[in-house]
Amino acid sequence: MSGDLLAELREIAAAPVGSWRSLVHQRYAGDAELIRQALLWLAAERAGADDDATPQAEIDPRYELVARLDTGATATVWQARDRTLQRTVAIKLFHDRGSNAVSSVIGEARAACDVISDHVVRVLDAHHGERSYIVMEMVGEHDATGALVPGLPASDTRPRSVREAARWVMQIARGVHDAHLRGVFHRDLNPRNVLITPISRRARIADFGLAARERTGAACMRGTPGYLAPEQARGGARDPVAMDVWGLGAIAYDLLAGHAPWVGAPGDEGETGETGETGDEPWDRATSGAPPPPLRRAIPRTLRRIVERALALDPAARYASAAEVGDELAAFLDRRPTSHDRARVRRVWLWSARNPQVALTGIVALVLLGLVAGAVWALEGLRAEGRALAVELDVQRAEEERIAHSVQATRDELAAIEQRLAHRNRDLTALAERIDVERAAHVVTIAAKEGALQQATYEARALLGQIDDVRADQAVAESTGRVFERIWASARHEADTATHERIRIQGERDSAIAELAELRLRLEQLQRELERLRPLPPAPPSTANNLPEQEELAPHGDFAEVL
Amino acid sequence: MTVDRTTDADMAAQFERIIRRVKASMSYRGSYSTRDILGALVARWVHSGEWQRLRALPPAERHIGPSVRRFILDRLEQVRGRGEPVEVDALALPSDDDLVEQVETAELHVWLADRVAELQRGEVDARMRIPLAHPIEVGEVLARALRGFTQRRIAVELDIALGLVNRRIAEGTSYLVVLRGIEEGIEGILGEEAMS
Repeated sequence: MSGDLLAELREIAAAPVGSWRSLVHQRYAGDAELIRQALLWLAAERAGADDDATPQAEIDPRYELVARLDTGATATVWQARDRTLQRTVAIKLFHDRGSNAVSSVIGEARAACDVISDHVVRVLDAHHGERSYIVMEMVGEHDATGALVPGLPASDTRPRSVREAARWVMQIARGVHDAHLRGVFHRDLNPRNVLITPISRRARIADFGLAARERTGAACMRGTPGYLAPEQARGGARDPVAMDVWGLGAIAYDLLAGHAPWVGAPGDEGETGETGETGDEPWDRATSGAPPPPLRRAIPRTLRRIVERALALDPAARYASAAEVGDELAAFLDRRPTSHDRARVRRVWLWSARNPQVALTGIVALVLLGLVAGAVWALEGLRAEGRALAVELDVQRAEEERIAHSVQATRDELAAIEQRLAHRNRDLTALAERIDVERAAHVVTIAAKEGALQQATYEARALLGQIDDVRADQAVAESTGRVFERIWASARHEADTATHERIRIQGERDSAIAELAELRLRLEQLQRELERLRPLPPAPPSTANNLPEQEELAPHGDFAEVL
Repeated sequence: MTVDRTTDADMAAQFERIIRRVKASMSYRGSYSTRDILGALVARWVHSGEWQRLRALPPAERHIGPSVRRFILDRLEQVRGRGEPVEVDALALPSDDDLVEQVETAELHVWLADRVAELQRGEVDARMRIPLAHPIEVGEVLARALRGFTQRRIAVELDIALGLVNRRIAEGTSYLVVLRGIEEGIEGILGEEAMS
């Protein structure tokens, strides 16, 4: 059913355009949605067919279009045959049919046709009319079978090595310099605008669509976003030479890194391609004030330095001309020192790389010289060593003689010692005999002393028993003494108590005596009172005199009882 | 059956407009000219959310031109702060009509990218009555075409013939044109009489 529908639509598309509507209504009557889609599909197919169709009718009959080489955003490039000059050419046919295309065609053709260089694609002719186109030199080469193989843009043909990338950029720099000498400034250098020949693999510049004819002019804000010079992106670019030098650096960067300076490497965050409207766009990166990411370290340092200088953010810090870039790259490719190779060792290394045979010969000569010098040095060392050994031999011989004399003297000395030893042995034998005699006497003495010792032991033991008895008596005496001491202490205590009691009683007696004296005084007072009060009958004097004596003795008698 | 011939011109004009805009959006790369670089800024404006806000207003009150113009000038002013002075005043900004056209183109480009991503996943829009063969391959080819790859590079990357790349682009473009027509509503072009 699907295939049938497509086949039906293609059948209708083959009919005249004016009949499409009737045919569609006729075939799909009642299905309004399908009618609408079919009509629109037919219109789109026709538009596509217009693009696909060979526009031979719109081209000068002098040129016969042979094959479409490529289609881009603004134009399609055709391989064509120039019937007049019997040669193959390339025709760039612009899509746009308006006045913009005309001005582009004329501007590009005029700029490019003035440049004569082996590294720039020549513009042969230009037409502006209903369809504008430029006739260019065909970049291509014949293969072994004689067939013409067209060249490809550098964006589609990656370099096989770092050196090939450097060689391409050098050739482009030469072409750009040739253009500069003719007063033409490309301003849109990028790998798409560089064609690579298929067999010899040489680079040639194409597409001068944005070329300028004056070195100074209004600020420029045009180019391809991924390859824009920073000042170009900001719209402040005024030096087209600096812009083209940047472009050379950008192409080199792309060929070496695999992506444009302002387009992140595949897999980077925020990458949305050259047309990315979101995230970190090339235009944002170009105006950020930060340099492009550094090239990987596997690329030779000199080449990296060259690219970095061409891509300097400050136009004044870049190479002054495209020729300078070309010369630097040529020096790199020829292994000659560039402006970045200032170290003497580096220059010697480059010279050696440039002149390997001479360098190798020099190295071999140096090695041989070193070997000879080493052999001579070694021989001289061996000789000196021999002389030293001879001297050492003489010294050793003298030492041997001295040792022989010493041995003989030692032997003589030993003989004398042996004699002395023999005498000594005899003395020792005699001494041993005396010792035996003394030992026997000593044994007898010891036996006697042992007997005395046993006797003394018995006596000592008896003394010890007596001492023990004395000690026991002493212990008893000490115990008894302690008992006596206690009794003595008790008796002293009782005596002290009695003394205290006696003192107390003496105090009481003194008090009683004082009281008695007082009573006597009172008595006397009473008696005197009584005498005074009593009538005069005199009392017999004996009675009166005895009484006081009785009273006086009575207390004494009481006190004696108390005491 | 009668066919209203008076609407042929209108229909063709609208079809032509849809086809032209789809094709322009597909080749929209923001390269080569001041106009295109400004176009990239317009695309940024579309993503800023301002377009969403204005689209909700009645057409007479949208004033897209001044808004876009102000956005571009602000952006250039920001850039000017980072480097050498830019002659902002000397830059000729597009007219309001052109800005509106650029806004629509940028918006359409986003829409196309979404549809192409669907094709890459093998998803064909259910509203589409006309079949599309090999949707994944068409999606892969169109995705690269949208990124600005030449047909030759697409052919090398996908390891297919150059002619096949061309055919897939044509098939994909027709698919997108019809889908865009469905999106915009093409029934108004053809009168009810013509439909009956």
